[in-house]
Amino acid sequence: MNEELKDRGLKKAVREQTTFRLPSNFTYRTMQKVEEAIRLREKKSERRILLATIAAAIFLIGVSGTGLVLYFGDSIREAFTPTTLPQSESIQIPCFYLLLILTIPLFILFDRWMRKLYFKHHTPKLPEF
Amino acid sequence: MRLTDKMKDNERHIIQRILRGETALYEHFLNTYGQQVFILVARIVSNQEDAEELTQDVFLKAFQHLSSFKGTSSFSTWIYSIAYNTAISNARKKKIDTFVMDDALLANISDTQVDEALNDEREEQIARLSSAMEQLNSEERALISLFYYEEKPLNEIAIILGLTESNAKVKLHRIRKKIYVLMKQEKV
Repeated sequence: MNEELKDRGLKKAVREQTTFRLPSNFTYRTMQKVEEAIRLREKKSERRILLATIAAAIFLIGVSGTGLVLYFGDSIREAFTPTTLPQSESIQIPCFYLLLILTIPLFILFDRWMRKLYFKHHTPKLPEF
Repeated sequence: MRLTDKMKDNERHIIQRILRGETALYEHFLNTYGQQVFILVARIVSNQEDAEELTQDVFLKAFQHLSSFKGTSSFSTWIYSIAYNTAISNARKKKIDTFVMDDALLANISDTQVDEALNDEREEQIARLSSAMEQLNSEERALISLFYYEEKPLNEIAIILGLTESNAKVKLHRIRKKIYVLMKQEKV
């Protein structure tokens, strides 16, 4: 029998049986769920990145700490052992006040020069006729 | 270029854009295949509310696994196979009792008898066919729906159901005979 003409009764019965219909807001509701799934996925990946960053930071701190101890262990230990420091009164800075007197005018001059430069660049130019 | 090839190309292009972040474009697939997928699911589970929920699950699953869609088959075949598997596993959980038929009984029925009975378009015959179809199991109902309602070719149906083409053909042949037997039983 010709395939086109075959099972016409069955085809009709199958078509007539279809009473199911999707609600009109199906696409909208499903898209909302899709967006929710995207948000969840993004959150998950953000959490994964944060955990990976923390793990990497802990690893790097550990490695650098171990490296410092291995290569500069003696120097570090030495730096933390108490040594006899000279008394503060015995430290002599002979030209301290002299340096102060010399630096203050220098700073004042520098300040004036900087102000000059600033106003030169920031004052609006008058239009030329 | 054939129309189906053009459609396939267009859909592949849309999928690439969705994967690049234009997720709103997924609406196209919902509008194009939503109703068809829903009908297949509804025929398998025989319940409007369950079918609605499962159809939504099908589209969500498809969205989440969109990157695994290789494009060897059309998007419609792919979404139908997801729908079929989702609905069948749901129907199996509910274990609805269906009529199991002896193979020997089916072997004794001639093809001419079956052809004549299934080609009859009289109202009473249609009513008998409808009630016979209700006694089929979910896999059988899915095959009937895809072949007679969606008018899908057997090679595509085979991909959707996870069978070989010859296996799908044999199954369809057996289902037709089963419907005939069920109709006869109703007459008696």
